[in-house]
Amino acid sequence: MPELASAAGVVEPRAIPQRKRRGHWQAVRRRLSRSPLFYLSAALLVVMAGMAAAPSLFATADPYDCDLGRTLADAGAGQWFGRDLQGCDVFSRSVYGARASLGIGLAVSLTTGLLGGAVGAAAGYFGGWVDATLSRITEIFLAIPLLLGASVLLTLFGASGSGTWTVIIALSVHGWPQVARITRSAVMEAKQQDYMQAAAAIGCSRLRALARHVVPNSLGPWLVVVTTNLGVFITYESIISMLGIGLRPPTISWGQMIHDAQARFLEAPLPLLGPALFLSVTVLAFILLGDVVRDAIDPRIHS
Amino acid sequence: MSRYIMSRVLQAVLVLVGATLVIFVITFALPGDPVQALAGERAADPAFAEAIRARYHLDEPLLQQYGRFLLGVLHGDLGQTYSGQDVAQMLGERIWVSAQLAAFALAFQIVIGVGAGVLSALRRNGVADTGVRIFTLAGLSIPFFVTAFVLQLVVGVKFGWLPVAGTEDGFLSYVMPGFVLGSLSTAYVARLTRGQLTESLREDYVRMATAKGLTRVRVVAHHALRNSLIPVVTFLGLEVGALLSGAVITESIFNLPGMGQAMARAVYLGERTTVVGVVTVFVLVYVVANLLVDLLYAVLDPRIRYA
Amino acid sequence: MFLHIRGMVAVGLTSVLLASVASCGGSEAGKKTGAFSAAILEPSSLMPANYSEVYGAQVVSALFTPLVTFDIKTNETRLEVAESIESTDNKVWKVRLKSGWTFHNGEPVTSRSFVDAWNFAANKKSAQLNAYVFGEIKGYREVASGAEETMSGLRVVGDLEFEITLVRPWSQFRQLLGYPAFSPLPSAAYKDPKAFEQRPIGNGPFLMEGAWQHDQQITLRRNDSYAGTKAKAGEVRFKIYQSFDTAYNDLLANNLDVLPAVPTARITEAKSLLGDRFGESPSGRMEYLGFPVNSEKFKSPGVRRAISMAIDREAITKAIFRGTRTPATGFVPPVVPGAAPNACGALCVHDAAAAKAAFDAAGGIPGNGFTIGYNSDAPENKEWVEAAARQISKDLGVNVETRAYPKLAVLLGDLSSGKVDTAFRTAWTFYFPSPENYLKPLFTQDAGENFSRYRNDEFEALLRDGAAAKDTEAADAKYAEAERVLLDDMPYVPLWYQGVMAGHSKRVSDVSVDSFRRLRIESVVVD
Repeated sequence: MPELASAAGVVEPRAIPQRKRRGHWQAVRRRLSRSPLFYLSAALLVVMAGMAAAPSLFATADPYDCDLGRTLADAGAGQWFGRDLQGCDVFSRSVYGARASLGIGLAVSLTTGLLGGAVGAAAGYFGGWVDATLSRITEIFLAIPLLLGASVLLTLFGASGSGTWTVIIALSVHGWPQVARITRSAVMEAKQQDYMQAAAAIGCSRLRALARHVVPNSLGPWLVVVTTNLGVFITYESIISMLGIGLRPPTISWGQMIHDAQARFLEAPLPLLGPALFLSVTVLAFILLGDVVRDAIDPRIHS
Repeated sequence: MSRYIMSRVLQAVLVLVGATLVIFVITFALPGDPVQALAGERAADPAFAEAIRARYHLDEPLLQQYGRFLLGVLHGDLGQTYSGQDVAQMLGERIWVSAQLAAFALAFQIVIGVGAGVLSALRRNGVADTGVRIFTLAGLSIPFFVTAFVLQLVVGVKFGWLPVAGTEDGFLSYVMPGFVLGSLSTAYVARLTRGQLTESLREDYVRMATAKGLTRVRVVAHHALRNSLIPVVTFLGLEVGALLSGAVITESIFNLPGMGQAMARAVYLGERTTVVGVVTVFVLVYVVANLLVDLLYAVLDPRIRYA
Repeated sequence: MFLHIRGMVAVGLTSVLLASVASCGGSEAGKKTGAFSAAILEPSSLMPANYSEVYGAQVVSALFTPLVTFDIKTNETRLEVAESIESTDNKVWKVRLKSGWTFHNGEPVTSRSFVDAWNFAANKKSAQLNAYVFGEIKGYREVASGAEETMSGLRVVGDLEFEITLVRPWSQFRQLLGYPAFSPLPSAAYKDPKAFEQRPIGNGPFLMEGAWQHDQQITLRRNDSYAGTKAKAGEVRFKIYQSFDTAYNDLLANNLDVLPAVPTARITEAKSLLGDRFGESPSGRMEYLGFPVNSEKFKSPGVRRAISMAIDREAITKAIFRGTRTPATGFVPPVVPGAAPNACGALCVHDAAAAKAAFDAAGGIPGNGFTIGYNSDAPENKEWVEAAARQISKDLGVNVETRAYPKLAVLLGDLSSGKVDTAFRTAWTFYFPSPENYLKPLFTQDAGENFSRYRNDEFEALLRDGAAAKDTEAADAKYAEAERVLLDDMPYVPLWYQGVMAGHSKRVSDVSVDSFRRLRIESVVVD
């Protein structure tokens, strides 16, 4: 729409902040590129993503080649983490479990992050009846126990497919209210900061103020919660899968591997520690990334 | 302020009615026939099934059952479980167990979480920060049911420092389950505190306070921390509800007869009125906790006002 | 780096733990003499005719004693409250009671105590779960529908004498009378059944000390005026757990005296830690792989027999159950008097080649694959179902998938509504020790438990012959014949007989568990 763009009133005020914004994001990039922790977490994530995409490159043994005669076998050549109760190779299963676990962790973290973030930001920023309505809806969802919500999804969606979608939906419905509450609080706080008051005084529009000042300044808690949630969701998958609602074999997941190995932990710790190691590395990568990105984005830390 | 609270109380009533209705509808979609669930591994006899359906009004339409439930609530009667226990009385006993468990878990989160967060913010990217990060990582990546299992064996069985399970040893019974339950969310608290405090320490008024010659402890405690706490307090407020309602597995491992277990069993057995009764308590807890947290915002940051 | 260290620490910790747990122990001070604690899960009910699981049975049989009981080793029927139980035609049964039996409140146990209790339990208004066990008594239908208050087949002859008339002859009725639902009730039970259930008054070797503390404990005291063999311990405290894993840890920590069911996953460890304080005994519980026999996939008996031969019972019972279950050799476990030995023969033995040949000869399965459904509320189900699915896939060259259901009720609901067409995991525990109890309730067309919808007239005729038989040998011979018919049709694949693993503390001895998986609390000795 060239007519509108050429109108003086539109172009002029936008020119300055846009340059500023570019400057801000350039600074963010510069800071990230100087942080060794950023490269570490990125490298870990690339490896994990590689496993999810092409597990056979990382593990040569067939995760479905199981032999009851070798149940709970110890670590040895060709089976670094030993074998589980069914006599399947733990290392290979851990590698193949990356796809479902990472996929579910990412999908649920993103869904809850975006939905919860949007609802929370709107409630916190606009206040009044918008806040009242959104917050009360949030409270209703908060009070629905995961167990109950997940059980009902089983009835609604039945048994089709691998169960991945049911897990994602169940955990997303359960998880967003928490993100919403945290985001709301962060936005309410950011809104009160002096520079926001100043922005309002010089006539910045509310939406622009929201995008330009409130979001960057309240991004911190949001990032912390969303990146921390990832590991928790990966674990929760195993709990609802136990109910018969979640992933179904032959899909492999870390959560279920850990859960299944837990009872015999004293007899054979490796089937638990193997997938737990993969889970730990993933969680580490995400919380490091969360911290690094947060530190890089926040305008105050570098002012 | 009092007008704000009045309006929140009114909204709470709406939330209660809305939530119980939502739950009621949901329970109709619970898988499995509740009468069959009562019969265990055998098939329920048709005569028995009919008698139970009549006794608990299971054949009535949804709205009629909901009306019956609301009417009961107004009389302080939450109905009965299918094994003949009074739901209100049962919850009265259980909420005490859950409250103690939640109190311990919350205490761990506040002491360890906030403490670790402050420590790592003051020494960002230093040894302490790395230490806290590793601790956080451990809390997040060892599933809590594994932590519970190992602690029970080491602290309970091997050394006998704390009771293994049950509620017979008074508050000592709640220390280990409280720690397990709190350990997961301690990671959130520590990371939220770290992030918020790091920001606050850069704020002008904090630098000013430092410039004025106030001691570091005073600056952190009175100025920086106070203003960093809003998201942390919000998170802890959510935890009050989550700890009371979501401790199903912890309660099971440590054999605590709390709210989570009551809910899990009611969902398993498809006991509609019990599920709704339990969730009603959860809604109340969340509503009250969130209201208190919202009011706390105004205390922590005087710039936040409620008209 | 850190993660590796953590792994090593955990491994080290494990060995330290395993080595040291065994040495801990010692006696717990401050306990009442003659008192011990035993673990159960929350019972569904304490009414004799209303519980659904072994924990209710455990408490009920401590509080109540029926007409007959069963020998713990042989499961032979023994007269208890009954002086004699006689019938000339297997249809009219004359019961004479011993005198001197009383309830815990002093009320004498008379023929009324039995007749009224059975009428109460059968009544629709009472909504008692196990009411169906009275189904063969004349007049049950009228009482169960609410039209009548008393069963016409029950007639009080005198204070200590009554007569039971059945709908049709039934040679196994004497054994059925040992089922706890046939216990007598005192008159107090009918005044306020709800209050009674929280603190039942029975005629058994133990009486309630205080009310049932839900999800916490049930305390019983020895009944010193018990007319049968008095219990050895003075007091039993049933500690109610949410899982036996926790109870097992409590036993290791010396906070619990008797655990009647050590979790399968901890068996290897328990054997070495508890030594002679760990005991195994057989039970009447067995497990099956069931098929909806009318479905397209499973309608061929040949396919069902092939699946039976494709399952390596030895390997599964060894690796997954650690020998606590033994491969099934028929539809009737050996603990049952009159069970035919090795009825199943080669059909229940793993033979990949024979299985494949039988499978191909039967024409295979449409779609060359099927699903096994199981309820995931018992953790070991997933473990063995996955192993069995893998074996069947491999041996028969089909694609076998598994599917978890949150509870059995959901799986059964889906099956009966025709929503799914899957094989399913199921189990059965007898309620009276007779071969018939493994055949009739599961595989006859009118039976409520006939989840496979199996129907075979020859099989049912043989069962009728057994019910009409004049003596036990003749009856058992007919049941063995019926079992062979069933094995040939294989509506369920018999998998294994379940054992019971009990562990106890150093404070107690003489711990035994019967075939019904009930701890015999009356024989436990507190040192």
